[in-house]
Amino acid sequence: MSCSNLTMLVSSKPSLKDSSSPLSFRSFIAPVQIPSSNACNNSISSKPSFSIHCSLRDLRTRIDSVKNTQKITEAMKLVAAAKVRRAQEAVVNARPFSETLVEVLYSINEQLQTEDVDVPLTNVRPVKKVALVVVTGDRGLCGGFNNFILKKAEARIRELKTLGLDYVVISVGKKGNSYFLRRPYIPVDKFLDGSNLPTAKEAQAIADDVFSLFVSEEVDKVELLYTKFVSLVKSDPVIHTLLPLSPKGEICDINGICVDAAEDEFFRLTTKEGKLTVERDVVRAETMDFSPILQFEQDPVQILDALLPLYLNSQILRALQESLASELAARMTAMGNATDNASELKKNLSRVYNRQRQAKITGEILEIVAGADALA
Amino acid sequence: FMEPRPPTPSSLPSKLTVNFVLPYAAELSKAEVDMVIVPATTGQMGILPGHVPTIAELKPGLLSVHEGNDVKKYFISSGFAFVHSNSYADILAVEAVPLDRIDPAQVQKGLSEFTQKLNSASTDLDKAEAQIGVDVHSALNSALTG
Repeated sequence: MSCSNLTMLVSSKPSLKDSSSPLSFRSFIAPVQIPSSNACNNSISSKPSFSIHCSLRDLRTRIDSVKNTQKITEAMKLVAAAKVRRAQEAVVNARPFSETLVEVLYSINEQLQTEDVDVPLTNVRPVKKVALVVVTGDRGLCGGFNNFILKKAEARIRELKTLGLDYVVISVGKKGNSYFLRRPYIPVDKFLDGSNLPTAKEAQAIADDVFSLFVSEEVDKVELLYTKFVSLVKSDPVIHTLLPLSPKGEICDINGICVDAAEDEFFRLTTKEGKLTVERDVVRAETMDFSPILQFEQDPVQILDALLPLYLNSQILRALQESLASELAARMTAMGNATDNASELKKNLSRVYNRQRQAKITGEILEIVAGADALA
Repeated sequence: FMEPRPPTPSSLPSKLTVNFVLPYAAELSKAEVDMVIVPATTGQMGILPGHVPTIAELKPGLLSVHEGNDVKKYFISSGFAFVHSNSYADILAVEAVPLDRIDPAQVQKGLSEFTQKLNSASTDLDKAEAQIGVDVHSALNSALTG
């Protein structure tokens, strides 16, 4: 490296760029001091900075590049912070829709309690094949976000394998796509790209695929893997069962805590020994004034038929939105940490730089003085 | 999010409270109106305060909200209308556009395009897709003119 060349240069001069110790005059008296091949040695000095310093110019370049990186990471953090707010708003805005859907579902089911509802989306079959919809992000620089989800997906695949079930993956998001592309031994049905703002259209694309797979009986269960947005610093990869839908929808108070908790409990405890065991844990029934004279403009089964795909769509949309919000929050934290690290690094480097600079100046002065002395 | 509805009052309320929601936003939230006309699959349905509780599926068409002399028209793609016993109406639409934002020229173009596709469609799938296009565009057309 350029470092070693400099050391040769340095050794000819009595002044040594050795900032590890305070200026030692001994080194000047013994001019034939071959510095170790790495004059740019790791200074394990009194200060706990392990920086390799070669020359002033190199240090300066390095400080500049760290400064630029810091600016970039800070900008990314601010952008992510602004987007998180919007993403959270989107989640909140989408809630009334699914809330109302669930209400309608509930009322219909109250009516149809005695009847035998045969809607293909609620068909509970013995499970032989499971479809996993894995939602990842599009870009990197978001900390461990994508990694967590993919690890969870791998764990789930292993679980399914030990249960002797077949599986297929539907990957949403560029990061997941590239991951699964590199692993051809995992069967993937479809690759979809995520987006900055998940709308019903994107959710519909996934819903269509999932719908056709389920109704054609190619798969018997569809699970959704996404990251739940808990808070700005915490997010949780979860697995939700998407299909078969419970014809009752979720009889719960949708306020971000209850239905999710109830859903989780309800959906996670399924598939034991390859058989679908529907276990319901926490279900909070909402006090709804259900009217006995509810009129149906059409056959209730028809309405249910039309309602459930819409419900499926809204579930997928919610998962996409929450996933996006968690990705942005993760990016914010990661970039914030990067900015802090960069500023600390810059500080350390600047310190080293200044010390070296001063050592050089002192050395030059000493040179002049020594030279003047020699002449005198 | 959505507050629970008040219990059924004993007398007929004078206004209809409408919640018009879309998957990404709530277009109207607890708006007090006089009447709402929804395009149900069984035909245009008017909902007034005191309407009997009903569940109806909606087809693509015109939704109008009447408040005094003020009428707001939207074109909805499809959805559900859910009327409760205390004059609360929940209208869910997958997509809704205020009528003044629709371009009539585009509608005509789309209609002719899809009619053409329908005539030249070979497979059942193509026919179905073209038929849907024709239905939606003619509904748009009648919404704009009617």
